[in-house]
Amino acid sequence: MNKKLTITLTALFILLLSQNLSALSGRDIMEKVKEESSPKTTHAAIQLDIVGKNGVKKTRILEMWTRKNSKGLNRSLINFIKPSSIKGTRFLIVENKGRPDDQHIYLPALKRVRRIAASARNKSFMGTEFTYSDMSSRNIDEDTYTILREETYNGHDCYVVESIPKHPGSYHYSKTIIWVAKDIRMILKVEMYDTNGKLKKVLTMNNFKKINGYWTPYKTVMKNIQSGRSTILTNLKIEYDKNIPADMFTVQFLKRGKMN
Amino acid sequence: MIDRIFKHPWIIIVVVTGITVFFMFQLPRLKIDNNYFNFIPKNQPSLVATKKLQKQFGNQEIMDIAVQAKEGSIISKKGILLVKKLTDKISAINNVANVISLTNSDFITGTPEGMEVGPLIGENFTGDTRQLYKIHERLLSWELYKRNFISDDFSATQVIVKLKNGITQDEEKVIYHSIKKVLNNYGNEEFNFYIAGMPSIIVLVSQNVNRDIRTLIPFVLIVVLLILFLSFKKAGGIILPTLTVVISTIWTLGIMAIFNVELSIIGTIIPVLLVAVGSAYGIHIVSYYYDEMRKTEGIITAAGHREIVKGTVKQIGMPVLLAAVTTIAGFGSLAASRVIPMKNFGIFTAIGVGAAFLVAITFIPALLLVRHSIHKPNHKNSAKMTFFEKLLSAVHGFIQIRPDWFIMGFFIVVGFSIYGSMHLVKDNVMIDYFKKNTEIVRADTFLRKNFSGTNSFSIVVKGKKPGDLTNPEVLKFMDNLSLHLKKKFPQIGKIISFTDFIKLMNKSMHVPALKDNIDSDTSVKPASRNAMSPQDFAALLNRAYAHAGSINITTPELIALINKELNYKGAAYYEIPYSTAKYSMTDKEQLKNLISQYLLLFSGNLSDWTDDALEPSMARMQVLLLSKGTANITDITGEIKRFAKSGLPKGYSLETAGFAIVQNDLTNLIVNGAIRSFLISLIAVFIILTFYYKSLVAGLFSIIPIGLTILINFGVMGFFGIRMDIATAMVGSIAVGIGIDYTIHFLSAYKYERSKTDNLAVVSHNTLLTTGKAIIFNAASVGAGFAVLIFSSLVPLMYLGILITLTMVVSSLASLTIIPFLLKLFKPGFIRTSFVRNSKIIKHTKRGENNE
Repeated sequence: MNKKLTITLTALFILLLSQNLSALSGRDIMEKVKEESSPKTTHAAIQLDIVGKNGVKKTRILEMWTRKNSKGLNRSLINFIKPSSIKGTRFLIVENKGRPDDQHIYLPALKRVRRIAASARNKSFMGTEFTYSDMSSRNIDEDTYTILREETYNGHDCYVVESIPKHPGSYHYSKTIIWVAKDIRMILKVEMYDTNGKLKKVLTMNNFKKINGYWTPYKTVMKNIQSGRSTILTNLKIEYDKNIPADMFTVQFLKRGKMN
Repeated sequence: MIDRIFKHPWIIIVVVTGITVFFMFQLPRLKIDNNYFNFIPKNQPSLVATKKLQKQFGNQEIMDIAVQAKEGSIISKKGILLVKKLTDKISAINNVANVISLTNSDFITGTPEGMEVGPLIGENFTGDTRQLYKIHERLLSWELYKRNFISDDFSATQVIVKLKNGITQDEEKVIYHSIKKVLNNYGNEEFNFYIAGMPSIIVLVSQNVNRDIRTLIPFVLIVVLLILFLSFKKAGGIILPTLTVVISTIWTLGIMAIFNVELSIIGTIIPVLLVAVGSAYGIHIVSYYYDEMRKTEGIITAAGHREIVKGTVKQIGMPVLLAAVTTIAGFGSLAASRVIPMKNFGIFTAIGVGAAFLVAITFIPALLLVRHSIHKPNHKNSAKMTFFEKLLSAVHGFIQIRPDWFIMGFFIVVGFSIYGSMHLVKDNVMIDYFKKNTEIVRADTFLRKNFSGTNSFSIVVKGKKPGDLTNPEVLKFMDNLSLHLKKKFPQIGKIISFTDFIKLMNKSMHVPALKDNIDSDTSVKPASRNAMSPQDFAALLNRAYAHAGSINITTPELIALINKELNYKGAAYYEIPYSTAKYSMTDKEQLKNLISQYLLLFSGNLSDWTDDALEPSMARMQVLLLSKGTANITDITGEIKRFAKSGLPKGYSLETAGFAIVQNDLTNLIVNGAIRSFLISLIAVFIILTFYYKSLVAGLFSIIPIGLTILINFGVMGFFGIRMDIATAMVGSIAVGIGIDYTIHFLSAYKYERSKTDNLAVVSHNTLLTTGKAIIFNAASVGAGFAVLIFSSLVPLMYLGILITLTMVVSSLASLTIIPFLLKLFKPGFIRTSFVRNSKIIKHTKRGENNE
């Protein structure tokens, strides 16, 4: 769960080493993407614009801290800033090895921390077009990859890789098609097809900037082709590898909202 | 003029044939549409509101499927795996927006530490007994699941199929058949399937219309051919009037195709009506022509024959025109209806009658001219008619002898009819278009009996700015409204409201903690973990019972009270957080924020119920109705408005919209339109006849028999519980259009007879035995044509057939009895004045002779 946040919400789909990718298979390309080192900590302010099919835009602003522990497991804390009715609502996600993430939420109006046990992975994340599973990374062995073609997308030479789950029933997409930029080694676009084989959503990443050595998309758009709704994710501010104390990612901190 | 036209009969034949062939090629373009959304004017407020509702909250029309285990609970391993398969397969069908069933729905519940969100049926479902009990328990834990995912006897569950917004009827048809195919594939001996819901109904109405058109048109043609054979026993007499109706029907349907006018359920009647009515004009021409041929002795030369044809047109043209014009006025009056199929019916039957007249007056004479041959006079006297003659004589004699009885009888009939009319039910219920033993009716009945109904509308509460719908005041109002309506109207099966989700979340967030591991300062007292003594248990039961609203409560009610008393799984908090004290808040603003924060936990999955995932400015309640009709809708919406007037907080507004309301509007439009059209047709006929006879009295007399006919029609409908629906509502106008001809014929003949003698009894007797016979014959043939509709697969058309047949009998008899009675009683001037045109009318009315 929190790894997905790292990937999608921030420095999404990691930067690749500057090696020659030309002789690689589809799986090799994806492996390079996956294996890439990600920042140890991330601190970002993010604006979420939820656009309805009628074009009405709803804006949410949240602040997020993510920290990777020595085992490579992520912990994330999200603090909602806007709208004011949910200001101070905090969300803690602790990634576990081999079992579901721990999720806790603090509701300021109730002044209570509640544990959330959610198993529905294909549900919307906070009313966005992202589902929980869109935001988490899949194990590379769960899919087979094929390079469909090479083409220029958004000014980048790209590999177009098709990814098909090995067990169709296990995933709520029948396939995804991924555009990987050869130069910056980042994913630029993902097309997601529903279980009926119809295009459901398109994820695009734009405005890449290199921050603290990491390529970072400043604007990420998830468009639901079937419903006409979309979610635009904009980085207002982002910093990597700053010191974030481990104590921030605890239920105690969640409740008090401060360290001491 | 006539000379010029008939100089070149071939030109007429070629032109008419050409037009007919042209229109024939248009016929395949004819479409059938029975979506009642297209039945009412686009600017009708209920339709506008419903379209807006659909745009905001998605297509509200659902296909309802019930899966029933023949034995035991549907919550079994087999049952659940079947529902899961069906859900998956139906979800994959094109244009299905989404499928809701117990196998893909979420379950939210509170835990001592927080809340659990997950599928209602776990991902690792194996079907063991423990899991099955758990599912039963979950289904019973929330009002929304009951009679939605589970029937009261646990035997059945519902699969709700939502369709994409704005799909065509053809696409709906494909969906319906695809679902049927899926159900057939997975059907087995242990389960029953039922499929209903408005889209299914509309698809099936169109399918039946299609079948009716293909079977009933040939059928009515055969009936008309048979009648023509009986009356003429001559090839020409059979073929020529038949050609008239076939040609005029093709023209009419062709014009409809060109103007993209779709055939609806009542569109089926257009060809039937044109065949039954249109043949009359051809009959008049042909019978007069044969009459003249018979009168002519010896060999008829070509020139002589031409004179006979010309004479026929000259003599018969005017009276046939009068009959056609009044019929056009009757049918055309339906164009005043705001119900689109009725309007189209009026316009195109009027065009069709006009076409039948035009073809009869040009094409038939042209054919007669071209076809000129020698005819042998046929002087055979038919003895079959003597029965009618005797009957008519007897009736006439009776009226002559006992006028007081006749008047009394008249008023008794009027009295009964008025009494019956007062019990007339006006309701256009689409499911009742089908016969009782059909699959769709059985499915609809099952769904209404075991679940919350197939008919619904929505209440949308709107605020002015984002977040207005998190105000506990307005949520409390919505909750109260829901309770009030359910209590007041037993036909409401269920009300699903935005507030149900807020209450569920509030409950889930207030489950008492077992140990204080996370939250030390919780406002909810931890429940005692000590074992309960028998005394405690009795005390608990008594405390719970003390909160009951009445002495007698049901087990589920007692369980609910105990849950509340113990705050079992947060049951004491299944409410809108309203009291600042109970929730330890300083102001209402905090309660508003709490509700926003609850909404955050729903992750935007409430888009069917609200416009915004966090700060809604509108929210929806859905009222599900167990009743199939629209009869109570006005009461319910009225009550909602009254309740809102007194309870809806300032700054909020409330709107009702949805299918049940559109259908209710449609019923009202049908009834109002039918009454208006009927009055227009009566007035039009009155004006036409007043001008024709240059006498107000003539106009007035003419509409009395037909007025009585309509009154009797309404009386019969009331007595036999035949509802006024989209088809039967048109009987009035149709009956005026056709029935007035009998009065016209009778008046003309009477006038002719009157010029021969001053003995009114003799006049009426003679009129009855000549034209009277013809009128009865004419009415019988039209009635027989319409009687074909009795074989329609759609109930409204069946009743329309019966009612038109009835009105034909009544209007012809009324003309034959009431008119002579009135003429004898009042001796009006218009009948005594004789003018040259008379003789022209009279001849064609002597159809009694022609038919021999």
